[in-house]
Amino acid sequence: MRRAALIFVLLQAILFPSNAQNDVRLMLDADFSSILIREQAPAGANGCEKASYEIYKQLTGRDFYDPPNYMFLRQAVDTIGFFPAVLATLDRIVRDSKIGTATVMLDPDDPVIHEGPEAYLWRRAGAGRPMVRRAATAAARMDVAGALAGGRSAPARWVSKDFDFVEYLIDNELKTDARALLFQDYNPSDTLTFLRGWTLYQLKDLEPAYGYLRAVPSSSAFFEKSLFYSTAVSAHLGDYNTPVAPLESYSGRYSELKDMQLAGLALLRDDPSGYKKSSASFGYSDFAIADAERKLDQIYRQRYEDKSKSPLLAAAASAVVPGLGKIYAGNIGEGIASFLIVGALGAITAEHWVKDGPQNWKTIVPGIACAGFYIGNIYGSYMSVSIVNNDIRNAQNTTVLYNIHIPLRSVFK
Amino acid sequence: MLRTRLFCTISIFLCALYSSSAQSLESQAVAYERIIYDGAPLQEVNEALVAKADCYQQLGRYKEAAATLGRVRMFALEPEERTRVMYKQELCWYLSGDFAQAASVVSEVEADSDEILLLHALVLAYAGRYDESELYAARYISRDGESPHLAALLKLYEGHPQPRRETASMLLSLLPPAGHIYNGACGEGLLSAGLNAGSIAFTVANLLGGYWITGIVGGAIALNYTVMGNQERNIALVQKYNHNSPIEFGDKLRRFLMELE
Repeated sequence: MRRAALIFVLLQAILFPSNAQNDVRLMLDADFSSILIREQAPAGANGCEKASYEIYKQLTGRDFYDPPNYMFLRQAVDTIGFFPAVLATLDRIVRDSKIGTATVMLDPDDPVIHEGPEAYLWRRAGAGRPMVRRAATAAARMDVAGALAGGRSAPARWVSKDFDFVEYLIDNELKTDARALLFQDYNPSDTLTFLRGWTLYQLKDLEPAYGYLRAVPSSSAFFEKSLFYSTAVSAHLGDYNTPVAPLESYSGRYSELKDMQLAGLALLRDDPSGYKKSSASFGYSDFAIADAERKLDQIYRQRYEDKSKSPLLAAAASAVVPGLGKIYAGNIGEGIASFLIVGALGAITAEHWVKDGPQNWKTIVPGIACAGFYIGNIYGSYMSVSIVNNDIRNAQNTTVLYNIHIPLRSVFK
Repeated sequence: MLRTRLFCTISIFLCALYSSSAQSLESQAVAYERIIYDGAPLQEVNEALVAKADCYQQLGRYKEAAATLGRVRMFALEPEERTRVMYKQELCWYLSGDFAQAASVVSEVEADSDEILLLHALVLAYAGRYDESELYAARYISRDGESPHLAALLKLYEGHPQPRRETASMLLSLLPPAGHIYNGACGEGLLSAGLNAGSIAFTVANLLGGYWITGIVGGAIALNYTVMGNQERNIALVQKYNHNSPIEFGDKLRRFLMELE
């Protein structure tokens, strides 16, 4: 026995160095380079672009718009074509000014405006952008049989015995522990499938959560909760069609909740007749969902009954008074910046025209700049209204998502 | 009988060896949490939390490890155990890169061993508390008697970074490139001075040439960018320096101590 203990201690000493030694090694080998603030021109920038980046830093103090204008132009040419890209960049230079960004509320943790050329693409398309790219949902099509088969290889015990423990872990913000526990060897069951989906949902790992929640069969005690939560998860993933059929086939006691979710999905799909049909059975009497029903009605009225702003009117206004179209769109700072910059360049051009004549380079250079910014201002105003409309639509979609999701917490306490 | 026990001992050892895999460590962490859930006595709860934190530490999830140690009921621990738990917590905060949290624990961990001296020295250096860090670092390298490297260490600390002031930088930025030179960015300073000189020259030349509108309006726009941009750039440089310099000094100290090991 002594010999066995001796071998054990020796093996441990060889293979596992003492804790103190381990700690010292950890302390000395730590790497904190990732938390340093670094400034360097974006990867792939050429010499001219690097110089432009350095000048930009001196003129603005820091990277404010991301990507910088020169990168934006390069990307925009590839995305929306040469002339729209030039106009979009000229408009962006004006919006990038101190006055242009004065009315923008920035996130203190991320004080940068992130806007790539795709924003212009959305503006041009004029259609509501889904909150989450639809492509993401392709991965969410989880094999239901696969979800049910989890843990089948080595059956060990039933998860129902650990149900309270899992709840304790989730309630105490130990969700990663709950996930580690549930993906151990348990006998396959509806409860296990539900708990896995529920834990992944709590961890905001929505794609696999959707697969598990959808896999809970209608005979399960957790079916209703899984059905309504999987609908909300699917909507958050940008898929507004798939949950419709399972919801419509549901005929249990939560029929008003079902209609509320169907109405929300119809709004997200931009289907006013679908909304009318589903909202006809709103009762406004269930405390848990009455507010959500009223909110959905309000969004329906705003979207389909109230007038939205016209991009053409904005462009015309900016053609008459530079920046007026942007003020009409609601971007006061951008409007004032456009007016000042186009006005200043116009005044400079006029002065040189009077004193040096129209063919002097001192007239031609500011004249070309003024014309570029003027046309960019008209183009930007047209796009500003489109993007404001899109922003309103996105905000409405966010509200719909909230209202078909959050009341579930009160319903399924 | 002896052979059987030997077999059992080696089996336990092999299990311990196997349990270092990530999945097993996660399962162990959950098993420790279950002990707490099952209503174990206070002493066992504390032991389970320490063991759970150890699992997280081995998994490299240092923030979770530190948070788990924060749940330990300190009042139920002996002073020595308390010191060990606080030391572990300080170590985990340090490894997670949260030096302010780590430094807040230093005063509660008595430096009675080499690794604690080293940890205090590093944590305080990364947190920018250089004088206190120097004392611990000197004690650490002198643990086996007077160290021949003490002079080099003291010299290293003599050159520790001094925090810069935003107000001073902003006032100096009124005279380009003084603000940039104060921030150690001479190249950028020359560029900024050139841009400012260019915009002033543009304004003055137009005013002297009788182009009043161009001089006033164009000059105002140009100066707005160059002068204000210069000031904002200087503030950004101060913030960057004050964030990075303690980390860079800490890295220097770490490399110095690593060479001694």
